[in-house]
Amino acid sequence: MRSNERNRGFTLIEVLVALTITGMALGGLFAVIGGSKRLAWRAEDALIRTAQVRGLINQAQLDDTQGELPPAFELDGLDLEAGIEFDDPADRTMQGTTQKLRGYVLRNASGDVVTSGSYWVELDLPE
Amino acid sequence: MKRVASSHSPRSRGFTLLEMLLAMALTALLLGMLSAGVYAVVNDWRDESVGLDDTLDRTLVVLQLERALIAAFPHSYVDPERLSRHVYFEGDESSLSFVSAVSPQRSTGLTGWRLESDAEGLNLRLTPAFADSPDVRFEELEPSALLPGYRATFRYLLQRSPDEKEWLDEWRGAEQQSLPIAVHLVLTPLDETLDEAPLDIVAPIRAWRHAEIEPVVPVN
Repeated sequence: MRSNERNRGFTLIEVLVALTITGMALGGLFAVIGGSKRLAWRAEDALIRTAQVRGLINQAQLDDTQGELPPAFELDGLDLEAGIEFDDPADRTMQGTTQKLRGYVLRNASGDVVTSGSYWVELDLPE
Repeated sequence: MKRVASSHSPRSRGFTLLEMLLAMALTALLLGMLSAGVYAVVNDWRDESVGLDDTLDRTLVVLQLERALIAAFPHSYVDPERLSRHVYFEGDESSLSFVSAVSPQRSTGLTGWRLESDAEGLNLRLTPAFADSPDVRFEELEPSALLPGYRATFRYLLQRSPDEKEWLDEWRGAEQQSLPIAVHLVLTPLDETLDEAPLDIVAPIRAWRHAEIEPVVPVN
């Protein structure tokens, strides 16, 4: 009787449990690989976005420093707006102030803030 | 007698050939499926990491060029034939030579940069800038590939008057005796089939005037 029980093989439940555990382990492995792939996509987008934003801000800074200039390029769905208002720098007697901060906010097509910050603008332009 | 019967009982007789074949076939099938899946995933991941590396290179090149252009310097040299002093900044749509206060090697002093875009990609030559025109030393150098597979296009912002500015396709420092107030650089992939947006950057040049030499504004 006992020897019969020993040799009867696996039951359906046991096989199912083993298969489920194997499946979960494999699934977890693939999910991790897929996740790092998504991370790579996001990193690529972030890198390109950094360079694009840099170009836009340079252009806005140039526009503020040198006066109106024909825009070199535009980015679809990205809009640079005025940000925080900074106070005008206090007058100094010894050496005049030459620069002031200007805030900006960058919004995407759906109006969400992509990034914000500030840049320096020349106050007295060379003749 | 009893022992013999037990050893011949159907329970402990081992596997039949058919069972073995079936089990091995199933195992081979499962292993094959698994390795095919892993192969596909690894391949995919390698493509992805190559793409990430490319993007990283491209962004770094753009930001490095932007930095070099912002720090462009109104370097002047004496033309030995005419004995006149000229500002060095020569550019057209696909190439640009200028002198900058920054260099990739962080060497002190001024560095001459020559960027050239050809059928292979974007090439760079670097040389220290001395009192003569950097053109002479550029000719002796082999260009090194800065960004293969991309075409660079340059435009130069001219200030005709404080209210009037214009993007030009070429800049002759020897004639205009100044630097543009900004450079617009566009990187587009040479492979037209790539679905990739061009990368634009505008670099303002603060030191666009030489201390002594008067700029010459070209006529329209």
